[in-house]
Amino acid sequence: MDWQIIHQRAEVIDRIRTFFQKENFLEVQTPLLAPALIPESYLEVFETGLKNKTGKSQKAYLTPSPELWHKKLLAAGSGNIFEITKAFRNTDIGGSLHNPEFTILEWYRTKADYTDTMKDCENLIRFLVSPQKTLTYQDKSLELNQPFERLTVAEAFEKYAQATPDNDFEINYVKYVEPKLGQKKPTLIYDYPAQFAPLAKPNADGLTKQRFELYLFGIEIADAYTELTDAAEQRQQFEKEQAERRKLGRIAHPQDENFLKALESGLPECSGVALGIDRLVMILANQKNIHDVTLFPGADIFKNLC
Amino acid sequence: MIKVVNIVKGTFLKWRGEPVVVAEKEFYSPGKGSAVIRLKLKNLQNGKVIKEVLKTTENIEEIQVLHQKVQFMYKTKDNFVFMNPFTYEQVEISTELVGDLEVYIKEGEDYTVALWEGKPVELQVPKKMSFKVIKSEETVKGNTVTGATKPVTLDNNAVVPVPLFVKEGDEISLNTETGEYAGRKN
Repeated sequence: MDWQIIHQRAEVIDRIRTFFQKENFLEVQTPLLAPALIPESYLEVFETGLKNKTGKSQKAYLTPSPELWHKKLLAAGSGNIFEITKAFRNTDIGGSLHNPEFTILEWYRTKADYTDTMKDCENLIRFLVSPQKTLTYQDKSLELNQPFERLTVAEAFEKYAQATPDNDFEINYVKYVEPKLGQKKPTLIYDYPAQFAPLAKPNADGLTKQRFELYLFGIEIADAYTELTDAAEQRQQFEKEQAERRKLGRIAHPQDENFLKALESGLPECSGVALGIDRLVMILANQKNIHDVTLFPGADIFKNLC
Repeated sequence: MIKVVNIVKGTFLKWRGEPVVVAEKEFYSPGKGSAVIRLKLKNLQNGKVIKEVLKTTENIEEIQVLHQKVQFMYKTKDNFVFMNPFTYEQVEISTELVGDLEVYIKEGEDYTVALWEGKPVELQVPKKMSFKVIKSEETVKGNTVTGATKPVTLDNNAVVPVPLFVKEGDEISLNTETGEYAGRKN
Protein backbone atom coordinates (compact mmCIF):
# COMPACT_ATOMS: atom_id res chain seq x y z
CA MET A 1 0.00 0.00 0.00
CA ASP A 2 1.68 3.15 -1.18
CA TRP A 3 -0.14 5.94 0.63
CA GLN A 4 1.57 8.55 -1.50
CA ILE A 5 -0.22 7.14 -4.55
CA ILE A 6 -3.58 7.12 -2.77
CA HIS A 7 -3.06 10.77 -1.81
CA GLN A 8 -2.14 11.58 -5.40
CA ARG A 9 -5.28 9.79 -6.59
CA ALA A 10 -7.45 11.91 -4.29
CA GLU A 11 -5.74 15.04 -5.59
CA VAL A 12 -6.37 14.07 -9.23
CA ILE A 13 -10.07 13.55 -8.57
CA ASP A 14 -10.24 16.88 -6.76
CA ARG A 15 -8.59 18.63 -9.72
CA ILE A 16 -10.99 16.95 -12.16
CA ARG A 17 -13.89 18.40 -10.15
CA THR A 18 -12.27 21.84 -10.17
CA PHE A 19 -11.87 21.66 -13.96
CA PHE A 20 -15.55 20.94 -14.56
CA GLN A 21 -16.72 23.44 -11.96
CA LYS A 22 -14.69 26.12 -13.74
CA GLU A 23 -16.43 25.10 -16.96
CA ASN A 24 -19.80 25.43 -15.18
CA PHE A 25 -20.76 21.79 -15.57
CA LEU A 26 -23.34 20.45 -13.10
CA GLU A 27 -22.12 17.48 -11.04
CA VAL A 28 -24.75 14.73 -10.80
CA GLN A 29 -25.10 11.41 -8.93
CA THR A 30 -27.07 8.68 -10.69
CA PRO A 31 -27.93 5.11 -9.62
CA LEU A 32 -25.55 2.18 -9.93
CA LEU A 33 -28.49 -0.23 -9.80
CA ALA A 34 -30.85 -0.27 -12.81
CA PRO A 35 -33.81 -2.44 -13.88
CA ALA A 36 -32.75 -2.30 -17.54
CA LEU A 37 -29.63 -1.33 -19.48
CA ILE A 38 -28.47 -0.07 -22.85
CA PRO A 39 -27.54 -3.28 -24.74
CA GLU A 40 -23.83 -3.31 -25.59
CA SER A 41 -22.31 -6.49 -27.01
CA TYR A 42 -18.64 -5.90 -26.22
CA LEU A 43 -19.09 -6.03 -22.43
CA GLU A 44 -20.71 -8.30 -19.85
CA VAL A 45 -22.88 -7.10 -16.97
CA PHE A 46 -23.50 -7.94 -13.32
CA GLU A 47 -26.97 -9.20 -12.52
CA THR A 48 -28.52 -9.09 -9.07
CA GLY A 49 -32.01 -8.80 -7.57
CA LEU A 50 -33.74 -6.03 -5.66
CA LYS A 51 -36.27 -7.28 -3.12
CA ASN A 52 -39.02 -5.57 -1.21
CA LYS A 53 -39.96 -6.41 2.39
CA THR A 54 -42.66 -8.88 1.34
CA GLY A 55 -40.07 -10.93 -0.50
CA LYS A 56 -40.98 -9.92 -4.02
CA SER A 57 -37.88 -9.60 -6.18
CA GLN A 58 -36.99 -7.87 -9.46
CA LYS A 59 -33.83 -8.40 -11.50
CA ALA A 60 -31.42 -5.49 -11.26
CA TYR A 61 -28.15 -4.71 -13.04
CA LEU A 62 -25.05 -2.77 -12.08
CA THR A 63 -24.46 0.03 -14.57
CA PRO A 64 -21.48 -0.32 -16.95
CA SER A 65 -21.59 3.49 -17.30
CA PRO A 66 -23.92 6.33 -16.29
CA GLU A 67 -24.86 6.99 -19.93
CA LEU A 68 -28.41 5.65 -19.61
CA TRP A 69 -29.19 8.18 -16.87
CA HIS A 70 -27.22 11.10 -18.32
CA LYS A 71 -29.04 11.11 -21.63
CA LYS A 72 -32.35 11.20 -19.76
CA LEU A 73 -31.07 14.21 -17.80
CA LEU A 74 -29.93 15.92 -21.00
CA ALA A 75 -33.33 15.33 -22.60
CA ALA A 76 -34.92 16.87 -19.50
CA GLY A 77 -32.87 20.04 -19.93
CA SER A 78 -29.93 19.53 -17.55
CA GLY A 79 -27.41 21.31 -19.73
CA ASN A 80 -23.74 20.35 -19.34
CA ILE A 81 -23.25 17.63 -16.74
CA PHE A 82 -20.49 15.43 -15.31
CA GLU A 83 -20.28 12.55 -12.88
CA ILE A 84 -17.47 10.71 -11.10
CA THR A 85 -18.78 7.27 -10.21
CA LYS A 86 -18.15 3.53 -10.47
CA ALA A 87 -18.70 1.49 -13.63
CA PHE A 88 -19.19 -2.28 -13.46
CA ARG A 89 -18.01 -4.65 -16.22
CA ASN A 90 -18.21 -8.33 -15.50
CA THR A 91 -15.32 -10.61 -16.65
CA ASP A 92 -12.95 -7.59 -16.70
CA ILE A 93 -10.63 -9.18 -14.14
CA GLY A 94 -7.00 -9.90 -14.93
CA GLY A 95 -4.42 -7.93 -16.85
CA SER A 96 -2.86 -4.64 -15.90
CA LEU A 97 -5.51 -2.27 -17.29
CA HIS A 98 -8.82 -3.71 -16.10
CA ASN A 99 -10.73 -4.02 -12.83
CA PRO A 100 -14.32 -5.35 -12.71
CA GLU A 101 -15.44 -2.13 -11.07
CA PHE A 102 -13.56 0.99 -12.04
CA THR A 103 -13.86 4.71 -11.38
CA ILE A 104 -15.31 6.50 -14.38
CA LEU A 105 -15.59 10.19 -15.23
CA GLU A 106 -18.39 10.84 -17.68
CA TRP A 107 -19.28 14.28 -19.04
CA TYR A 108 -21.68 15.63 -21.67
CA ARG A 109 -21.44 18.91 -23.51
CA THR A 110 -24.58 20.21 -25.27
CA LYS A 111 -24.58 22.18 -28.53
CA ALA A 112 -21.40 20.26 -29.28
CA ASP A 113 -20.01 17.39 -31.32
CA TYR A 114 -16.99 15.13 -30.87
CA THR A 115 -14.58 17.79 -32.11
CA ASP A 116 -15.60 19.91 -29.11
CA THR A 117 -15.10 17.12 -26.60
CA MET A 118 -11.72 16.34 -28.22
CA LYS A 119 -10.78 19.87 -27.13
CA ASP A 120 -12.19 19.15 -23.64
CA CYS A 121 -9.80 16.17 -23.42
CA GLU A 122 -6.83 18.32 -24.44
CA ASN A 123 -7.76 20.97 -21.88
CA LEU A 124 -8.42 18.47 -19.08
CA ILE A 125 -5.12 16.63 -19.52
CA ARG A 126 -3.18 19.89 -19.71
CA PHE A 127 -4.95 21.15 -16.57
CA LEU A 128 -4.21 17.97 -14.62
CA VAL A 129 -0.53 17.97 -15.58
CA SER A 130 0.00 21.73 -15.11
CA PRO A 131 2.15 23.54 -14.19
CA GLN A 132 4.27 20.91 -16.04
CA LYS A 133 3.94 21.06 -19.80
CA THR A 134 5.24 17.53 -20.34
CA LEU A 135 3.65 14.27 -19.28
CA THR A 136 6.18 11.60 -18.36
CA TYR A 137 5.42 7.89 -17.91
CA GLN A 138 8.03 5.19 -17.29
CA ASP A 139 10.85 6.30 -19.60
CA LYS A 140 8.74 8.19 -22.16
CA SER A 141 7.45 11.79 -22.41
CA LEU A 142 4.67 13.54 -24.24
CA GLU A 143 4.67 17.25 -25.02
CA LEU A 144 1.29 18.73 -24.18
CA ASN A 145 1.55 22.29 -25.46
CA GLN A 146 0.78 21.44 -29.08
CA PRO A 147 -2.56 20.07 -30.30
CA PHE A 148 -2.89 16.34 -29.70
CA GLU A 149 -2.37 14.01 -32.70
CA ARG A 150 -5.65 13.46 -34.56
CA LEU A 151 -5.82 10.32 -36.67
CA THR A 152 -8.75 8.36 -38.14
CA VAL A 153 -9.02 4.60 -37.59
CA ALA A 154 -8.52 4.06 -41.33
CA GLU A 155 -5.38 6.24 -41.34
CA ALA A 156 -4.02 4.41 -38.28
CA PHE A 157 -4.62 1.01 -39.88
CA GLU A 158 -2.87 2.09 -43.09
CA LYS A 159 0.06 3.58 -41.21
CA TYR A 160 0.65 0.88 -38.60
CA ALA A 161 -1.02 -2.33 -39.80
CA GLN A 162 -0.71 -1.89 -43.55
CA ALA A 163 -4.33 -3.09 -43.67
CA THR A 164 -7.85 -1.73 -43.78
CA PRO A 165 -10.21 -1.88 -40.79
CA ASP A 166 -12.47 -4.33 -42.68
CA ASN A 167 -10.60 -7.54 -41.95
CA ASP A 168 -9.38 -8.98 -38.66
CA PHE A 169 -10.08 -5.63 -36.96
CA GLU A 170 -9.42 -6.72 -33.38
CA ILE A 171 -6.20 -8.60 -34.14
CA ASN A 172 -4.71 -5.80 -36.25
CA TYR A 173 -5.86 -3.16 -33.79
CA VAL A 174 -4.42 -4.83 -30.68
CA LYS A 175 -1.26 -6.11 -32.34
CA TYR A 176 -0.20 -3.23 -34.58
CA VAL A 177 -2.26 -0.08 -34.07
CA GLU A 178 -2.94 0.34 -30.37
CA PRO A 179 0.69 0.06 -29.19
CA LYS A 180 1.60 3.00 -31.45
CA LEU A 181 -1.06 5.44 -30.22
CA GLY A 182 -0.16 8.25 -27.83
CA GLN A 183 3.54 7.53 -27.95
CA LYS A 184 4.96 10.75 -29.41
CA LYS A 185 1.99 13.02 -28.69
CA PRO A 186 -1.31 12.14 -27.03
CA THR A 187 -3.50 10.64 -29.77
CA LEU A 188 -7.17 11.23 -30.50
CA ILE A 189 -8.12 8.36 -32.84
CA TYR A 190 -11.53 8.86 -34.42
CA ASP A 191 -14.14 7.72 -36.97
CA TYR A 192 -14.56 4.08 -36.06
CA PRO A 193 -16.21 1.51 -38.40
CA ALA A 194 -19.97 1.75 -37.91
CA GLN A 195 -20.42 -1.59 -36.08
CA PHE A 196 -18.23 -0.45 -33.17
CA ALA A 197 -20.32 2.52 -32.03
CA PRO A 198 -24.04 1.78 -31.66
CA LEU A 199 -24.64 4.95 -29.63
CA ALA A 200 -22.77 7.36 -31.89
CA LYS A 201 -23.93 9.60 -34.73
CA PRO A 202 -23.01 8.22 -38.17
CA ASN A 203 -20.80 10.15 -40.57
CA ALA A 204 -22.28 11.21 -43.91
CA ASP A 205 -20.69 8.23 -45.68
CA GLY A 206 -22.60 5.85 -43.42
CA LEU A 207 -19.51 3.65 -43.02
CA THR A 208 -18.03 5.24 -39.93
CA LYS A 209 -19.37 6.79 -36.77
CA GLN A 210 -18.36 9.92 -34.88
CA ARG A 211 -16.50 8.16 -32.08
CA PHE A 212 -13.03 8.94 -30.74
CA GLU A 213 -10.69 7.58 -28.12
CA LEU A 214 -7.89 9.31 -26.26
CA TYR A 215 -4.63 7.37 -25.96
CA LEU A 216 -1.65 8.14 -23.73
CA PHE A 217 1.42 5.89 -24.05
CA GLY A 218 -0.52 3.14 -25.86
CA ILE A 219 -3.20 3.07 -23.14
CA GLU A 220 -6.84 3.93 -23.87
CA ILE A 221 -7.88 6.60 -21.40
CA ALA A 222 -11.20 7.91 -22.76
CA ASP A 223 -13.97 6.98 -25.19
CA ALA A 224 -16.36 9.55 -26.70
CA TYR A 225 -19.05 10.14 -29.31
CA THR A 226 -21.15 12.74 -30.97
CA GLU A 227 -24.29 11.24 -29.45
CA LEU A 228 -26.90 9.58 -31.66
CA THR A 229 -30.13 11.55 -31.21
CA ASP A 230 -32.37 9.64 -33.67
CA ALA A 231 -34.59 7.35 -31.56
CA ALA A 232 -35.59 5.03 -34.43
CA GLU A 233 -31.97 4.54 -35.47
CA GLN A 234 -31.00 3.94 -31.82
CA ARG A 235 -33.71 1.27 -31.47
CA GLN A 236 -32.33 -0.50 -34.55
CA GLN A 237 -28.84 -0.41 -33.07
CA PHE A 238 -30.21 -1.85 -29.81
CA GLU A 239 -31.68 -4.78 -31.77
CA LYS A 240 -28.31 -5.47 -33.42
CA GLU A 241 -26.55 -5.37 -30.05
CA GLN A 242 -29.14 -7.66 -28.43
CA ALA A 243 -28.70 -10.17 -31.28
CA GLU A 244 -24.93 -10.08 -30.84
CA ARG A 245 -25.28 -10.50 -27.06
CA ARG A 246 -27.46 -13.59 -27.62
CA LYS A 247 -24.92 -14.97 -30.08
CA LEU A 248 -22.13 -14.50 -27.53
CA GLY A 249 -24.18 -16.11 -24.75
CA ARG A 250 -24.16 -12.93 -22.68
CA ILE A 251 -26.62 -12.21 -19.85
CA ALA A 252 -30.02 -11.31 -21.34
CA HIS A 253 -31.08 -8.07 -19.67
CA PRO A 254 -34.14 -5.96 -20.44
CA GLN A 255 -33.34 -2.99 -22.64
CA ASP A 256 -33.95 0.46 -21.24
CA GLU A 257 -37.15 1.62 -22.99
CA ASN A 258 -37.11 4.86 -20.96
CA PHE A 259 -33.80 5.64 -22.62
CA LEU A 260 -35.43 5.35 -26.05
CA LYS A 261 -38.40 7.44 -24.81
CA ALA A 262 -35.92 10.16 -23.75
CA LEU A 263 -34.47 10.16 -27.26
CA GLU A 264 -37.99 10.32 -28.71
CA SER A 265 -38.77 13.30 -26.50
CA GLY A 266 -35.67 15.00 -27.87
CA LEU A 267 -32.02 14.66 -26.95
CA PRO A 268 -30.17 17.94 -27.60
CA GLU A 269 -27.19 17.80 -29.98
CA CYS A 270 -24.39 16.79 -27.64
CA SER A 271 -21.18 14.88 -27.19
CA GLY A 272 -20.16 12.80 -24.20
CA VAL A 273 -16.91 11.31 -22.93
CA ALA A 274 -16.22 8.37 -20.62
CA LEU A 275 -12.76 8.48 -19.03
CA GLY A 276 -11.09 5.81 -16.89
CA ILE A 277 -9.87 7.66 -13.81
CA ASP A 278 -7.87 4.69 -12.50
CA ARG A 279 -5.90 4.46 -15.78
CA LEU A 280 -5.33 8.22 -15.76
CA VAL A 281 -4.04 8.06 -12.18
CA MET A 282 -1.86 5.09 -13.19
CA ILE A 283 -0.14 7.30 -15.75
CA LEU A 284 0.09 10.41 -13.56
CA ALA A 285 1.51 8.31 -10.68
CA ASN A 286 3.88 6.47 -13.04
CA GLN A 287 2.55 2.98 -12.15
CA LYS A 288 2.52 -0.04 -14.46
CA ASN A 289 -0.59 -1.73 -13.17
CA ILE A 290 -4.10 -0.53 -12.36
CA HIS A 291 -3.89 -2.57 -9.14
CA ASP A 292 -1.20 -0.21 -7.87
CA VAL A 293 -3.60 2.75 -7.90
CA THR A 294 -6.76 0.91 -6.84
CA LEU A 295 -7.64 0.07 -3.23
CA PHE A 296 -8.59 -3.62 -2.84
CA PRO A 297 -8.36 -4.52 -6.56
CA GLY A 298 -10.57 -7.36 -7.82
CA ALA A 299 -7.53 -9.54 -8.52
CA ASP A 300 -6.61 -9.39 -4.81
CA ILE A 301 -10.03 -9.85 -3.24
CA PHE A 302 -11.38 -12.43 -5.71
CA LYS A 303 -8.34 -14.71 -5.65
CA ASN A 304 -10.18 -17.75 -7.05
CA LEU A 305 -10.54 -16.03 -10.40
CA CYS A 306 -6.87 -15.22 -10.92
CA MET B 1 -5.12 -29.10 -31.64
CA ILE B 2 -5.92 -27.14 -28.54
CA LYS B 3 -8.34 -24.23 -28.26
CA VAL B 4 -6.52 -20.98 -27.62
CA VAL B 5 -8.85 -20.28 -24.68
CA ASN B 6 -7.62 -23.46 -22.98
CA ILE B 7 -3.93 -22.68 -23.26
CA VAL B 8 -2.14 -21.93 -19.99
CA LYS B 9 1.35 -20.80 -19.05
CA GLY B 10 3.60 -23.80 -19.71
CA THR B 11 1.57 -25.31 -22.56
CA PHE B 12 3.80 -26.61 -25.38
CA LEU B 13 2.74 -25.62 -28.90
CA LYS B 14 3.87 -25.55 -32.49
CA TRP B 15 3.82 -21.96 -33.76
CA ARG B 16 4.73 -21.30 -37.41
CA GLY B 17 6.49 -24.66 -37.48
CA GLU B 18 8.61 -23.95 -34.40
CA PRO B 19 8.29 -25.53 -30.95
CA VAL B 20 7.29 -22.95 -28.33
CA VAL B 21 6.16 -22.82 -24.72
CA VAL B 22 3.56 -20.34 -23.51
CA ALA B 23 5.29 -17.84 -21.23
CA GLU B 24 2.25 -15.62 -20.71
CA LYS B 25 -1.40 -15.68 -21.67
CA GLU B 26 -3.92 -12.91 -21.20
CA PHE B 27 -7.48 -12.15 -22.30
CA TYR B 28 -7.70 -8.57 -23.52
CA SER B 29 -10.85 -6.61 -24.29
CA PRO B 30 -9.97 -3.70 -26.59
CA GLY B 31 -13.34 -2.05 -25.87
CA LYS B 32 -14.40 -2.42 -29.47
CA GLY B 33 -15.37 -5.71 -31.04
CA SER B 34 -14.57 -9.02 -29.39
CA ALA B 35 -11.97 -9.88 -26.79
CA VAL B 36 -8.66 -11.29 -28.01
CA ILE B 37 -5.97 -13.43 -26.42
CA ARG B 38 -2.47 -12.03 -26.04
CA LEU B 39 0.32 -14.57 -25.81
CA LYS B 40 4.04 -14.43 -25.13
CA LEU B 41 5.58 -17.52 -26.71
CA LYS B 42 9.14 -18.63 -26.01
CA ASN B 43 10.86 -20.46 -28.85
CA LEU B 44 12.34 -23.67 -27.40
CA GLN B 45 15.16 -23.78 -29.89
CA ASN B 46 16.51 -20.23 -29.74
CA GLY B 47 14.91 -18.84 -26.58
CA LYS B 48 13.40 -15.85 -28.46
CA VAL B 49 10.14 -14.52 -27.06
CA ILE B 50 7.47 -13.46 -29.54
CA LYS B 51 4.22 -11.67 -28.87
CA GLU B 52 1.07 -12.84 -30.63
CA VAL B 53 -2.56 -11.76 -30.63
CA LEU B 54 -5.21 -14.34 -31.50
CA LYS B 55 -8.98 -14.60 -31.71
CA THR B 56 -10.64 -16.57 -28.90
CA THR B 57 -12.07 -18.99 -31.46
CA GLU B 58 -8.73 -20.14 -32.84
CA ASN B 59 -6.99 -23.48 -32.34
CA ILE B 60 -3.27 -24.15 -32.18
CA GLU B 61 -1.31 -27.35 -32.69
CA GLU B 62 0.20 -28.84 -29.58
CA ILE B 63 3.52 -30.63 -29.71
CA GLN B 64 4.09 -34.03 -28.20
CA VAL B 65 6.09 -33.75 -25.05
CA LEU B 66 7.22 -36.78 -23.04
CA HIS B 67 7.67 -36.55 -19.32
CA GLN B 68 10.41 -38.56 -17.65
CA LYS B 69 11.27 -38.99 -14.02
CA VAL B 70 14.95 -38.20 -13.34
CA GLN B 71 17.30 -37.75 -10.41
CA PHE B 72 19.88 -35.02 -10.02
CA MET B 73 23.49 -36.24 -10.17
CA TYR B 74 25.89 -33.31 -10.52
CA LYS B 75 26.49 -29.94 -12.07
CA THR B 76 29.03 -28.93 -14.72
CA LYS B 77 29.87 -25.41 -15.84
CA ASP B 78 26.97 -25.18 -18.33
CA ASN B 79 24.66 -28.03 -17.42
CA PHE B 80 22.84 -29.84 -14.67
CA VAL B 81 23.19 -33.58 -15.18
CA PHE B 82 20.27 -35.85 -14.30
CA MET B 83 19.81 -39.58 -14.57
CA ASN B 84 16.81 -41.69 -15.48
CA PRO B 85 16.67 -44.18 -12.58
CA PHE B 86 15.18 -46.91 -14.79
CA THR B 87 17.35 -46.73 -17.88
CA TYR B 88 20.41 -45.14 -16.25
CA GLU B 89 20.47 -42.75 -19.21
CA GLN B 90 21.91 -39.33 -18.47
CA VAL B 91 19.98 -36.19 -19.36
CA GLU B 92 21.80 -32.87 -19.50
CA ILE B 93 19.77 -29.73 -18.91
CA SER B 94 21.40 -26.36 -19.54
CA THR B 95 21.73 -23.88 -16.69
CA GLU B 96 19.80 -21.50 -18.96
CA LEU B 97 16.79 -23.84 -19.07
CA VAL B 98 16.94 -24.53 -15.31
CA GLY B 99 17.05 -20.78 -14.66
CA ASP B 100 15.60 -19.71 -11.30
CA LEU B 101 14.78 -23.30 -10.36
CA GLU B 102 18.48 -23.74 -9.55
CA VAL B 103 17.74 -23.20 -5.84
CA TYR B 104 15.60 -26.33 -5.83
CA ILE B 105 18.16 -28.70 -7.35
CA LYS B 106 19.37 -31.19 -4.72
CA GLU B 107 21.34 -34.41 -5.04
CA GLY B 108 19.26 -37.56 -5.05
CA GLU B 109 15.98 -35.64 -5.37
CA ASP B 110 13.37 -36.69 -7.98
CA TYR B 111 12.43 -34.31 -10.77
CA THR B 112 10.44 -34.49 -14.01
CA VAL B 113 11.92 -33.46 -17.31
CA ALA B 114 9.78 -32.73 -20.37
CA LEU B 115 11.38 -33.88 -23.61
CA TRP B 116 10.50 -32.87 -27.16
CA GLU B 117 12.06 -34.96 -29.89
CA GLY B 118 14.55 -36.24 -27.32
CA LYS B 119 15.60 -32.74 -26.19
CA PRO B 120 14.84 -31.39 -22.71
CA VAL B 121 12.46 -28.42 -22.93
CA GLU B 122 11.35 -28.04 -19.34
CA LEU B 123 12.35 -29.08 -15.84
CA GLN B 124 9.63 -29.56 -13.23
CA VAL B 125 10.48 -29.57 -9.54
CA PRO B 126 8.30 -31.15 -6.84
CA LYS B 127 5.60 -28.77 -5.55
CA LYS B 128 6.95 -29.04 -2.00
CA MET B 129 10.55 -29.66 -1.01
CA SER B 130 12.29 -29.72 2.33
CA PHE B 131 15.39 -27.75 3.29
CA LYS B 132 17.45 -27.36 6.47
CA VAL B 133 17.74 -24.05 8.29
CA ILE B 134 21.44 -23.35 8.58
CA LYS B 135 21.31 -19.82 9.96
CA SER B 136 18.69 -18.05 12.01
CA GLU B 137 18.79 -14.79 13.96
CA GLU B 138 17.90 -15.00 17.66
CA THR B 139 14.28 -14.02 18.42
CA VAL B 140 13.63 -10.90 16.45
CA LYS B 141 10.85 -8.60 17.62
CA GLY B 142 8.61 -8.91 14.60
CA ASN B 143 6.17 -6.43 13.14
CA THR B 144 2.98 -8.21 14.21
CA VAL B 145 0.96 -6.55 11.44
CA THR B 146 2.81 -8.60 8.81
CA GLY B 147 2.42 -11.85 10.75
CA ALA B 148 5.62 -12.01 12.76
CA THR B 149 8.26 -13.59 10.52
CA LYS B 150 12.02 -13.58 10.46
CA PRO B 151 14.44 -14.31 7.61
CA VAL B 152 16.48 -17.54 7.79
CA THR B 153 19.13 -19.00 5.49
CA LEU B 154 18.53 -22.51 4.16
CA ASP B 155 21.01 -25.14 3.02
CA ASN B 156 20.40 -24.09 -0.59
CA ASN B 157 21.53 -20.56 0.34
CA ALA B 158 18.06 -19.12 -0.17
CA VAL B 159 16.85 -16.61 2.43
CA VAL B 160 13.19 -17.12 3.28
CA PRO B 161 10.82 -15.48 5.80
CA VAL B 162 9.55 -18.04 8.33
CA PRO B 163 7.49 -18.00 11.57
CA LEU B 164 9.39 -16.99 14.70
CA PHE B 165 9.33 -20.51 16.25
CA VAL B 166 11.55 -21.99 13.51
CA LYS B 167 15.08 -22.67 14.81
CA GLU B 168 18.50 -23.36 13.32
CA GLY B 169 18.75 -27.05 12.44
CA ASP B 170 15.02 -27.39 11.73
CA GLU B 171 13.84 -28.94 8.45
CA ILE B 172 11.21 -26.83 6.74
CA SER B 173 9.01 -27.29 3.69
CA LEU B 174 9.00 -24.77 0.87
CA ASN B 175 6.26 -24.27 -1.72
CA THR B 176 8.43 -24.29 -4.85
CA GLU B 177 5.86 -22.41 -6.92
CA THR B 178 5.89 -19.38 -4.64
CA GLY B 179 9.18 -19.88 -2.74
CA GLU B 180 7.27 -19.49 0.53
CA TYR B 181 7.44 -21.37 3.85
CA ALA B 182 4.97 -24.25 3.85
CA GLY B 183 5.44 -25.95 7.21
CA ARG B 184 7.99 -27.50 9.53
CA LYS B 185 9.06 -31.12 9.23
CA ASN B 186 10.34 -32.08 12.73
